[in-house]
Formats: sequence, C-alpha cells, structure tokens
Amino acid sequence: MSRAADLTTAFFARPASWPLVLTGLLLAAWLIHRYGWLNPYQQQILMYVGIHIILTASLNLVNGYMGEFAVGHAAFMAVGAYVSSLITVRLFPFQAAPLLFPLALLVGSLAAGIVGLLVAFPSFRTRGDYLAIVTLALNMIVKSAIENLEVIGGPRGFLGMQRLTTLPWVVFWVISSLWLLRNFIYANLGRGVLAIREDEVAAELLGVDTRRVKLHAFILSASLAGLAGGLFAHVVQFITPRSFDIVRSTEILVMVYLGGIGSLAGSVIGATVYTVALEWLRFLGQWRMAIAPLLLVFLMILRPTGIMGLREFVAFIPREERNLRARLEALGRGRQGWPPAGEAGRVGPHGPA
Amino acid sequence: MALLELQGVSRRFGGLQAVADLTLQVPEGELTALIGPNGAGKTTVFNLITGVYRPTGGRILFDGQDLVGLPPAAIVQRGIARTFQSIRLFKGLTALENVRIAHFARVTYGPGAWLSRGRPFREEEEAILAASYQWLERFGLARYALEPAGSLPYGDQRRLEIARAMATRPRLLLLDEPAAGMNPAEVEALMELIRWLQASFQVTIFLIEHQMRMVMGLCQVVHVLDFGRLIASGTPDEVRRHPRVLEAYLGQGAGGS
Ligand SMILES: Nc1ncnc2c1ncn2[C@@H]1O[C@H](COP(=O)(O)OP(=O)(O)OP(=O)(O)O)[C@@H](O)[C@H]1O
Ligand SMILES: [Mg+2]
Repeated sequence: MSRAADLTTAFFARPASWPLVLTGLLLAAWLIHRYGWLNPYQQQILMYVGIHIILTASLNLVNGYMGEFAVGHAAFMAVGAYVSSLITVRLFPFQAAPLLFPLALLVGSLAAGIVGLLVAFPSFRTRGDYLAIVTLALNMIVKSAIENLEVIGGPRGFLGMQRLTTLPWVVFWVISSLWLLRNFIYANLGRGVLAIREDEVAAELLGVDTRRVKLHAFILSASLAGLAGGLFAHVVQFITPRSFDIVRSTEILVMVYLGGIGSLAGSVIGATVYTVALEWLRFLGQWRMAIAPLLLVFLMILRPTGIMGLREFVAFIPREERNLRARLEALGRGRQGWPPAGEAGRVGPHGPA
Repeated sequence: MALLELQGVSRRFGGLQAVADLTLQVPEGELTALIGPNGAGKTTVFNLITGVYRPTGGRILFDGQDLVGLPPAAIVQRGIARTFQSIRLFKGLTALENVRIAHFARVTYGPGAWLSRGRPFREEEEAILAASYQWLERFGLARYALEPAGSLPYGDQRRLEIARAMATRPRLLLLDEPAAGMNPAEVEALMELIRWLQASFQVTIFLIEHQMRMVMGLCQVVHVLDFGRLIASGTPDEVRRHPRVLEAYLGQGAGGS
C-alpha cells in the first residue's frame, strides 16, 4: 500500500516499538497534567475521548466482533460509576483515596462484569432482536433501580467524589483496555467470537463452545464499560441516573458504528471524532442530544461497517498475527518432504501445494 | 462393529414426519451412503446426528454411547464432523482462519496464557497454525490461505469445508451432497479426494448424495430414504434395481446414473 503504511508496518515490526510508544504516550500525558501544557478544559475533553474509547471498544467486542446487537451499554457504565464512587467517597479515607483509586475502579468494573453475566445468558438462545430488547430493558431497570435507591441519592444523584481521574490515568486505562481486548481477540476465544459473527451454527458444529465464548465476551465487555463508568464519575464528580440513560447508550452505539465494527482502530477513531465534534457543536445546546439518534440511523443505513469497517491498523495487531504470510511461507518450506511418514499414506489427489 | 448406530430415530416438524423410525448402521472404516429424493429427510438425519435437532424418538449411538441431548459442540468433540448442503464457511474470514477455528475445542491454554501471550501461548498457537496450514496444503488450498473464504471458487469452497471439518480430527465425517453444483471432472476429483481421506486418516464416511454415479463409485453400502422412511439398504447395484427405489425416484424422474 502507501509508503506511510509501509513505514508504520516496519516500525511496529520491531519488538521495542510498542513499549517506546506507550511510554511516550504516558509521559506526555503526565507532563501535560503536571505542567498544565493544555488548559483544564482541553484536558477534560481528552479525558472524555479516552473514556469514550474504552466504552466504544468494549461495545465493539459484542456488536462488531461478535455481531450481536446490544443497545444498553450505559447500564454497565452506571454500575461501574456508582460502585467506584461509593467506594472512594464512603469507604476510603479522604487522603488515601487517590492512592486507592485504581482499586475502586477495578471493583466497579468487576461489579459491572457480574451484571454483564446476566445479559450473557439470554444471548445463549439465538441472536438478533432478542438481545437488543434484553439489553434495552437492563438499561431501564438499572436506571430506575438507582432512582429508587435513596441511600445513593436516588434521582437527585450522587456527589462528593474527588477529581481522581487525571489524564495520565485515563491514558493508562485506555492502553490497558485496548491491550486486553487485542489479546483476547487474537487468541482462541477471539476466534470463537468471529466464528459466532460469521455463522453461529457452523461454529457450534466445529466444536466452538459458543456459550463459553459469549460468557467471556459479555463479561469482558461489561467490565470495561464499568471501568469507563468509574473514570467518568471521577471526572464529572457528580452522577445521576440520567447520566446513564438510553441517550448515553445510543452515543456509544454511534461511536461504534461511526468508527467501524470489528476494529480497535475504528473504536479509537469513532470515539475521538464523535467526542470532539460534539464539543464543537456545543452552541446547539439541547439540540445536540438529537444528533446521536439521527446519526445512528443514518450510519446504519448508509455505512453500517463504519470508517474502518472490519479493517485494522497494523499497530493493533499482535506481531505473530501480522507476520502470518512470512510464517506460512516458513511452514511451507519446512515441509518439503511432505507427507510425513506415518501420518498420511499417500499423497493427496491435489498434491502438496 | 458399527461406529454409528441409529435405533428407531424419528423427528417430527409439526404435522410433518421428516424422519420415521429410522434404524441403520454405519460400519467403522467404510463409506456408507444415504440417498433419496428431494425432501426425503436426509439432511434432517445429519442434523439429528450432530445435535442441531433433537430426535422426537429413538437413540443415536456413537461408539456405543448415546448422543441424544448432547449439544453440537460436545458431539464434535466425540469425533463427528460434517459439511453442509449449502456451504456454510465463515465467508468473511480467511481460509486459514476457517481451519484454525476448527481447533477451538482442543486448545489447552488458559486466561493467563492468552493475556500474556508468552511462550506456552505462542507454542500452542504455532502448532495450530502449522496443523491448519497443513490441512490447506493437503487439499491444495494453501495459496488461498490468506484470502477470504467467500472469494474462493465454488469447488474450492466445498473442499475448504471438508478440510475445515477434517481439522477437528473426526472419526466420522458426514458429507451432505459434497458434489452438488460440480461438473463431471470436479466430481471425479472429489471422489478421489474422499477415497484418499478415508485411506489416509482412517475416517469413516457417511455421505448424502443425489448423483448415483458418485454413490456407485464410492460406497459399499447404500441406504435409501423416502418420506422419512428407510425403503431399501444394500450394495449400490442391489439398491439401484430395488422396485421401491425405482418407484420413489420415478416420481421425480431422477433415477439411475
Ligand atoms: N427446521 C424444519 N422445520 C420444518 N420442517 C423442516 C425443517 N427441516 C426440514 N424440514 C422438512 O423436513 C423434510 C425433510 O427435509 P430434508 O432437508 O431433511 O430433506 P433432504 O432429503 O435433505 O432433501 P434435499 O435432497 O432437498 O436436500 C422436508 O419436507 C423439509 O421441508
Ligand atoms: Mg438435504
């Protein structure tokens, strides 16, 4: 392809490249945070971008890679947000909260994962509208459950969180989440996820334990959304049930289908473009909220695979998978003496290729 | 010894008796055929064996153990693989990926391994890659390894489906009209491929086929199904002359070779 693509490929082919880039990113984030290289408003937008990247990639696992249609991702975000906030505000001593913040995030993420389990079971049956209805219902149930829990503020919301989410933390969690998803996708369970998208019955008939695959995918997806919820709560420092309504879920859907299904690069692009664009459109006021649903409808009709559409940047593909062609060539060379004695009695009718 | 044994297997779809009290055996190491006119219930028999549908009656014994009630993935692990009448490849994935997925159940590494992508992970993945590529090579499909399966020529898609099924290392391979839509030369090559598979991998083959030529050339025993009932069993020659078989096929004018 293009020269730029070649250079990128060559760069990421070197083992030392990734650690270098990631350290650089973290360092930059820390410097921006520490020395105020960007003003607080700009930093906040960057943090939203990061949080949205995690949300988008997590939903992409279920909707893009696995081909299901879950529509209530804000429910998991809510669980992560409320659980982590309760921990940092009510459980941790004020001074120790910044240090223990990651712990609170992980517990919130775990709680969201458990709720994700509830959605995994209905998905065992068949795919399609059924899951959409279940996830939509879950979104509404979680929202009204919080509204009815006076101990956590009910409809008035919950506050008192310190601003524990900082740009370096966001960058750290984005990197971790994408790394986790990448390693999941490019391994056995991930292959199962793709097989389910392509043809669930055929997958099952090749020995893919589709229930185990779905269980993993839903739990992983929900926990990451919960993590994003925790980060979000500690940026805005005030959460209400309305922060996690169906409009929020729709926004996550938009980012997935804008950036591209089945693609981590697409998730990054979708989240970034949407978040920044929405900031520019601030002058529209309340009308902004109409953008997400409209955009979703247009995207589903015009380009349901999104900008990246099942393609991936080389940087997001593990080295072993990127080198497939070379590895196959090596395998082909190594088998000049085919067929190996004992394995196959005769040469195949089409000969060794 | 029969590797697969159907004992009084039945399946109803509402008012339709798709398979009725079917009893037959598939002997180990042999090539057995299941034939019958359109809608006779042949594919349904495969769907019952592989757990896609549950029989409304009867038992299905594989290697002496009842398969009824097991989920399809568990049946595959016992050693039964199949292809489909209408090709069901993972069309958007590469030919290589199609075959790699067939290794799913045999992967032993756990979460620690795929999280870290360390040595145990890479070694097992390398073995899967090598085995998958070898299956592609054996079927003459190596050059398509990194092409989307849906972009392969029709005949190669059919063979890729067999390669993918073989990658699960079955003891019993169910082929549902593998020659459908092939020209005579392709059918000839396919017959050779099936014989080679059976000889090289000690796999028992149970084959659904419309084309009598294919059945005559390959199989020792043929079972004939009509309206879900077994109407004849025997060598291809016996079956071809069987009055009830002639009658069944006459109705649609597609008898003989
Ligand atoms: N899931 C189903 N629901 C209802 N009816 C079904 C179902 N599957 C099959 N049938 C019916 O059962 C009968 C047998 O179908 P089957 O596909 O097994 O026939 P077949 O012998 O494979 O035919 P062909 O040669 O056309 O492939 C048909 O009448 C078909 O319509
Ligand atoms: Mg059929």
